[in-house]
Formats: sequence, structure tokens, C-alpha cells
Amino acid sequence: MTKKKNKAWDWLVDGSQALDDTMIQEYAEGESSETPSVFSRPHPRESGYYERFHTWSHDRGARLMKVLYAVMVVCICVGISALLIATTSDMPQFGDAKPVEDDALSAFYVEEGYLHTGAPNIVTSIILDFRGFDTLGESHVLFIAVCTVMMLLYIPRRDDPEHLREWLASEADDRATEPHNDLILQQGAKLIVPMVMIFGIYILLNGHLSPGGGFSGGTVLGAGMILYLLSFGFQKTERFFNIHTFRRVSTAALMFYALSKGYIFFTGANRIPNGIGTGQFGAILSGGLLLPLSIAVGLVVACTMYVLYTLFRKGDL
Amino acid sequence: MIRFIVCAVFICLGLFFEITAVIGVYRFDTALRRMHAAALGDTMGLFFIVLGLIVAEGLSGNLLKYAMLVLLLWNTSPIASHLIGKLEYETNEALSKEVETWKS
Repeated sequence: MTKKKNKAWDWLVDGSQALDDTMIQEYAEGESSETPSVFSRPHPRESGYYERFHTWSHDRGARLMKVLYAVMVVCICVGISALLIATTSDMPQFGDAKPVEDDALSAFYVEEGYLHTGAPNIVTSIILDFRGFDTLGESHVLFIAVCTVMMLLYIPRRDDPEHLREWLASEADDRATEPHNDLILQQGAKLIVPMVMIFGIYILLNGHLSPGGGFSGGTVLGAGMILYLLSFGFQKTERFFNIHTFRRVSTAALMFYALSKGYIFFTGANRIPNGIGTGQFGAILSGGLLLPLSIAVGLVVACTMYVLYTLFRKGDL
Repeated sequence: MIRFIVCAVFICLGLFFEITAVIGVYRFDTALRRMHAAALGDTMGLFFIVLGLIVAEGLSGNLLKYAMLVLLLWNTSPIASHLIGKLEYETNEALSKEVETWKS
């Protein structure tokens, strides 16, 4: 290994001396100063050890790591594939009723679940009704994630001139570098965004009748809002979504969820009739609280996605 | 049987385009060339695979969904490629060494 014998290298090796400009310049020019160094050099044996292990980690060690890496990659991939294939081969055939009949809980969900919830979609009825407490925790996890990111990254707009100037400069920079003035993207977004939004609302509102529900619908809605933001900029989105909207919408949705679930739990535990009917089976306004709850979850998820994106992008809404 | 053969031919053609795209993404050296290869898979590969699925499905209401799928993919994928290319054009200072540009 060829070592550049100059002061900057010494600084890199022992780090005991302060680095100044002349040393960097010498290092950049690659001149090896023949004059004996004024800095303290490591003991010859120590520097020998250093060179030996340093070169080892650069050529032979690197080769060894490469071989190890390849072997590990193959082992891990084959192992995980074998595990997954073994697990899926244990799973029952599609349409096989035996495992459902064997498991009393699954049989209850499949055979009598719709009598209690009034919803054809068993998955949504389990998520939002039988195990609604779990979903309440999940929505709060999302909310807590946004709160934490906001604590770390949120830069509130201040009105004193110094900060205002900084803020304006960063806004101008943002406007200049982001692609939202791109005409092709805008024309595409004009076509795509309404379709994405309608699809998201459909998933959200139809969650208790067909595959879908709060989480997937909310994700689609949030993605549509992010696409709109990317193509048209903050000036357009600020008109319908700012920090106050986020606070009101997500707090109201979570409060509604917690209160209605608390009401259901209270009445159910005390065997009081709760007065919420299941409605006509298969109609859009049916399933008791499933539809409002999935709307609440969807709003929380959409707000979370959008706010996380904007906070990571510029620390503001 | 004929339908199966036609469907298989279309899907194999689509897979050929996809494999070409994957090989191109790994073999080409600059971002723009890789993007060119990837866009091939996004448009022609997916189109032929969906065409094969349409042939397998036959005349039904799902045909409309497949058509929507192709429409959506052919609209969004070129826009995404365009934006990536624009970013590469604006941020890569050594672009004129790689390809002919307006700057050079």
C-alpha cells in the first residue's frame, strides 16, 4: 500500500494535530514533504500493525466479505423461500370448509357473524366490530406517529421579519425545484386524481359490502392528495387542507371512534340494547356502526399519509 | 385450445419484454438509458400480458377493467418516466458527456 507521507495523512492517522489549510493543500497536490515531520508520528511497530490490518481490510478482507455476502444471500433467500413454501403447502385448499368447521371461532364468524353485524364482508366486520378495540389502537398509533414527526420536524410560521424572509426564500426555492409546474404532470394529474379520489371514496364507503375498508380507502385518498400536491403545489392544497383541518379532522374522527366504541362496549358488557340496528343486509346504509367507523379510520389514515409527506418535505402544511 | 395458445403467446411476448427490461436496467450504465429500458417493460410488457389475460377471459364485464388498467398504466408510466428524466436532466452536471443534450 502506497502511503502519502504528508501532514494531512498524519492528521488522518493519529488525529492529534489540528488540521489547517496548508495541510489540505499539500494533500490535494500530493506533494510528499521530504522534510522530517514536526508532528509526533506513531511508533514504527504500531504503524506497521496499522498498515497490515488496514491493507487486509482493503483487499483480502474485502474479498472474504464479498464471498461471505454472496453465500449468506443465497442461504437466506433459499431458506426463506423454503420456509414460505412449506407454510403455504400446509394451508388448506381454496374453498375447503374443513378448517373453518374445526375452529369454533372461525365457524362463528362465517356462519353467524353477519347476524350480529349485518355486513357481508367478514373481514371488515371482524376488524371494526369484533376486534374494534385493536383497530382503535392502530388508528391511535398512526396519530401518535404524526404527532411525533410533528414534534421533530414542524416549523411553525412566524411573523417577525427575519423569519419571514427565511421562510419566503425557502418557499421560492421550493417552488423553483419541485416539479409542480410541469405541464405534462398537470395534465396527467387532471385525469388521474379524480379517478384516484373516487376510487378511494368507493373503497371507503363500500368497505362493509366488498373488499376494502378504512385503511385501504384512506391510503388511496392520501395518495391522491399527495399526487395533487405534487402536481399543483401548496397554493392549491392550502385552500382545503392546512394544520387546522388536520387537527379538527383527525381529532374528531378519533374521538368519534373512541366514543362510539366505548358506547358499544358499555352497552354490550352490561347487556343493554344499544339501539343501533343492523339495517337491510347488503344495502349501503347497513351494518350499524361499520360504515361511520370505517369513514373515521379512513380520514385518519388519509390525513396521516398526507401530513407525514408534507412534514418530511418542508416541515409545514 | 386455440384460445389457450393465443393467450400463452401473448403472455410469453409480454414476459419477453419484461425480461428485456430487467436485463436492460441491470446492463445499461446511465440513468436515462436504464429508464428507457424500464419504460419498455412498463408499456409493451404489461400491454401484452393484459392482452393475454383478455383473451383468456373472453367477452365479459371484466374486459372494461382490463382496458382501464392499460389506460391507467399507459397514462401514468410515461409521466413518471418524464419526471425522472427531467430530474436527471436538471441535476446531472455531466450529462453532456453521456448523451447529446441541448446544453452541449
